[in-house]
Amino acid sequence: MKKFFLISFVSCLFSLLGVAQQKYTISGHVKDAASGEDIIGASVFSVESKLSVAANIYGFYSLTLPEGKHTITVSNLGYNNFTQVIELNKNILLDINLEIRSEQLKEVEITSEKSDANVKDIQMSVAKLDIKTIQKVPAFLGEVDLIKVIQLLPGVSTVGEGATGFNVRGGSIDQNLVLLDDAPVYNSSHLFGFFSVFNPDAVKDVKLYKGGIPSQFGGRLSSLLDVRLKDGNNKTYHAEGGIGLLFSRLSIEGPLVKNKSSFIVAGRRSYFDLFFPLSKNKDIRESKAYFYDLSVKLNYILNEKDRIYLSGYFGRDVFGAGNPEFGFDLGNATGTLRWNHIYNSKLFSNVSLIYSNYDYRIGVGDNFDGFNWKANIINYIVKPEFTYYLNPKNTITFGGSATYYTFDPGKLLFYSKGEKREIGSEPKYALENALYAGNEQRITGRLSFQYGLRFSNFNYLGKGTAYYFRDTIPNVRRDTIRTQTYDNFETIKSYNNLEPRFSLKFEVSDQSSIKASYNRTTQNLHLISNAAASTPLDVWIPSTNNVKPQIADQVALGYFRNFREDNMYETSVEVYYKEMKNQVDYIDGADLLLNKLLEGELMNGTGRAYGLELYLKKAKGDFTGWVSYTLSRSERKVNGINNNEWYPNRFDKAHNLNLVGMYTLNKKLEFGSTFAFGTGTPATFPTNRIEYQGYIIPHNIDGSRNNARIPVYHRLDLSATLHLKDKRSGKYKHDLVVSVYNVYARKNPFSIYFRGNPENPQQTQAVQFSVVGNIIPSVAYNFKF
Amino acid sequence: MNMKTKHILSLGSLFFFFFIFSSCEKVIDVDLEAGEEQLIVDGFITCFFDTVALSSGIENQVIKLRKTAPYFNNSSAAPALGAKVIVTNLLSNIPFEFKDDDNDGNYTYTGPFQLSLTNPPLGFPGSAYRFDINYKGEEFTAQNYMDSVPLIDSIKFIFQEQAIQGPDTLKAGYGIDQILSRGTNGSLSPTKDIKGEGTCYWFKTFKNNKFYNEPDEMNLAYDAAFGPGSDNVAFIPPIVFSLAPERFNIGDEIKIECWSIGLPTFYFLNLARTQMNNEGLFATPATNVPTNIVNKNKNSKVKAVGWFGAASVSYVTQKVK
Repeated sequence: MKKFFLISFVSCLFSLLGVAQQKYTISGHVKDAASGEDIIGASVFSVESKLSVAANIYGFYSLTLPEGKHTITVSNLGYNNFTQVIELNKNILLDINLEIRSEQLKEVEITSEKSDANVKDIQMSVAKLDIKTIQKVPAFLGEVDLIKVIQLLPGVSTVGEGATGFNVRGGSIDQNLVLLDDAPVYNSSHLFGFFSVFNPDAVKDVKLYKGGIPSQFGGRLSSLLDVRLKDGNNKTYHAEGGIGLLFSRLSIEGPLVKNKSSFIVAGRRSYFDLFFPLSKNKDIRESKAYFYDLSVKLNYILNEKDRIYLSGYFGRDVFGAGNPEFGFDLGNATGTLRWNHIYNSKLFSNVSLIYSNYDYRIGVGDNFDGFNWKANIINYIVKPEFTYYLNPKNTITFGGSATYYTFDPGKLLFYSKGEKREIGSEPKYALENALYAGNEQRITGRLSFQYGLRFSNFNYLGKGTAYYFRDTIPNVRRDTIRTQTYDNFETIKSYNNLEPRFSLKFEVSDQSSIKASYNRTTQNLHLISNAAASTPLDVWIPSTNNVKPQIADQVALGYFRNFREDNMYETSVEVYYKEMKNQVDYIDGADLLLNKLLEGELMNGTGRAYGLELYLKKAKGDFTGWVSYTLSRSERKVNGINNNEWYPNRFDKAHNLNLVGMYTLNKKLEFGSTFAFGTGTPATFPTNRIEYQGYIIPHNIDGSRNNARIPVYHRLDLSATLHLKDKRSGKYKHDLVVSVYNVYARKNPFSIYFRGNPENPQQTQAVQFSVVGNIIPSVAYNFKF
Repeated sequence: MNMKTKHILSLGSLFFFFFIFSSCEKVIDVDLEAGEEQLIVDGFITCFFDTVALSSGIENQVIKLRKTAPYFNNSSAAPALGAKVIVTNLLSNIPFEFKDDDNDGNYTYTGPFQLSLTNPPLGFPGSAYRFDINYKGEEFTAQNYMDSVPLIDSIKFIFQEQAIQGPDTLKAGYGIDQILSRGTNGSLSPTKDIKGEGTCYWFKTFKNNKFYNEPDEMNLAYDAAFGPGSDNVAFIPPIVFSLAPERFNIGDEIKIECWSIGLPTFYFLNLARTQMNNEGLFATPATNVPTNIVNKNKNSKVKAVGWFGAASVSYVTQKVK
């Protein structure tokens, strides 16, 4: 099989060499005329040759055309079209500045893409969200949250309110690669999952790949969430910010050197702890609870061919209480240095140096009675990427990456009456290398392929101890049979994987297309969590001699159709089937924290997920919004669980329906609404009770897992935005957002569990737990100048 | 949820749930299928030591046999009658027959008791035990081992102001600061875990003879803490503080029992505790607790549940002054 892919891949590459003919290349950047921000995905089109190309994520485009006169049209939703006639008799460098269309129009459009991209682009199973759209969706406590909006898209779901992360096409939350300016983010939540770490004021573009993932991306099984920060306005200074119930925000952007260099600094901090000192209660007065984050980006255009970007994120959640103080703080820090270089009009490169760190610390007391617990995951990444615009029919991407990981899966130093002990596991190390090459090939005007191959090499390295366990009955803690120690950088275990990727698009008509894709993905990092919602204490571990890489194969088929001349309505239908190998599972009662023998508590299973996704979007007009519906199933089979039969995953939902609507009444007033409906998630219900030592223990006589469902979830949210005008200066804009979450105050179940009545433990009862049990109104004030 | 996680997350989540909005719980009606009835084995072979290491060694030993019932059946478990129960001390190889003379499902051994080291009594640390039962024609067996236990000399109470803990307010009163043991030289020091990794304990607190019996009051220790790595140090503060599930008043008579239960029993009880209290955002998958009761006939489909335990137990009784 692998051989077949290699041969077909190589032969495809050779087929690229087309017939020689005098051709020249026009290339450059597409930018926002007012701010100088790169415009991602703008379409550059030659009217005469009917050839087009889309600007890449740095706004760079390259289009090779026959010699002669060409009318170049550049378009992007939300911007006026740009048209210029050029005489092409040599390679031409042309930077294009697009003017934002009039304010009113801009406000009602919900993506920044060209309006038929969903049909014309080869990419399927992709959702692109513009930050303006994200800001219009009614938000929990008025805090704009891009992860929450992503959960309203087809194929994306969550196990429940307050749960960190999201599930894509039946994958678990650690199967999403979340990138912030290319840096992986290991915990995308503040406050245990209620808010995402992304500051909406600093985000430019969000793109979610659920399938048909191009070969340049790898490392996770189920999805890629690519979040790009704004570059900052390189012409004038601006500030924006707001005060919500939870956060106050401020961002400032502007030129460092006009037209050459810009910066953006955006910060947020929660401030409810500022009211603690007012409390009459001493414990609250002396408590700490806040979170903050800071996003920073600088960029500098060195010359026509070189540009560098430096971006960083730093955020933490901090809690503390009691005497002696019990403290808990956690957070991510990332940094990315990127260098864009244009070798020639056809070859574009970007080299990124990336750092990412997620860590937490918990501590109480001192060196007599106390403890100090730390865990982290740190990455150092080098990632060179190249795009070669061979000709209008072939765009070749190739590159690689090397990632050095250090894992500290948790170490606790504790003191009991002055005696010191250490608990937990020693650090782990790994090196992951990847090489990839791919091509997007236009066969005819209507038929395109995208194919590629990614090679992944993962090395679990010393210094460290490898544990070898006895094979025993599944779902029973395994004993260690031997251990072996390894030196610095000595390879303990290596894994190599080939990941073929293939996509196809056929345009049935100007407004409709059929797309299909197959991709294999592998994953060598595993989030160790067996709770319904991942906790911030959960740790990541690498593939080891005991934990094998997760591997997924996904096929998807889709039909895309737009309606009306102006592509007013976009629709799509997609079906997918995904198989996942080496899924990590846990023995009953597994001890996952601070356990050096953790790998003996893990099991290995297979997963499968399949579904149907329907999507209807109205992108233009006073009324915009979308409807998404997903019919799906996500299951798992693990020896030792559920009598070795398939059972639904904790986050499995058969039906998932989301309605999002936004209405602009006039220049002053806008409304937003969201309705979400989902099948209840699975749960395990007992059949019997075991009375033991006076306690009542629930028992399921069949030993089945997830044999029942909790009731359905549904929720309506509304918001109204009042745009206020400051008459003294036209520049200062501000608005007031009133939103209501869970309008009809439904107590949506998160889980149902069984217990003895606290008043009389002999009497057993079923208890429904709702994270949000009430209507939650909020108000936020935002400003911009 | 794991106890460690619970301790830590309860603090953080407290703030949020408390100040910002209302997470809520409500008791609901759920239709459950009822499974067939099974035999429950519920018993520990024990050996009690008072503060000066005087082992009674002559207490009656009881193993309860009961039957499982549908989960929402709220009456006490029905007794399993007519079983033949034998516990063998594997050190001396002496079998002891347990009898249910009152027909209440409490199978009891009431003597005679032997009191010599060469011919140890039924319950004594360092012994292993085999439990054999014949019930309705099915033969089950189980084994366990009795670990040693640290002696407790006294309790040190401490006065505490009113405080907020989670959604509750704790009234002012006495908590437990330390439990103390007497060294060979007669000095008092905080009670330590017995040397050797994986000695596990179940602390039981009684106030005026009433046992704190709620699942979340089940106070379990793995060595001196919650997991491996805490061997042979004083029990850590979270375990000691939890010995007082509420604030005591002057005059309350407090009894603390330290049951040395062994690692397998710890895992069983720890999982049972989780299953009885599997609430909230970070609940773990609901699962059955294991059992060490094995049907001798591997082909039989009849299974039993419950756990046959063995524990040496030290205890101290003290009035709050």
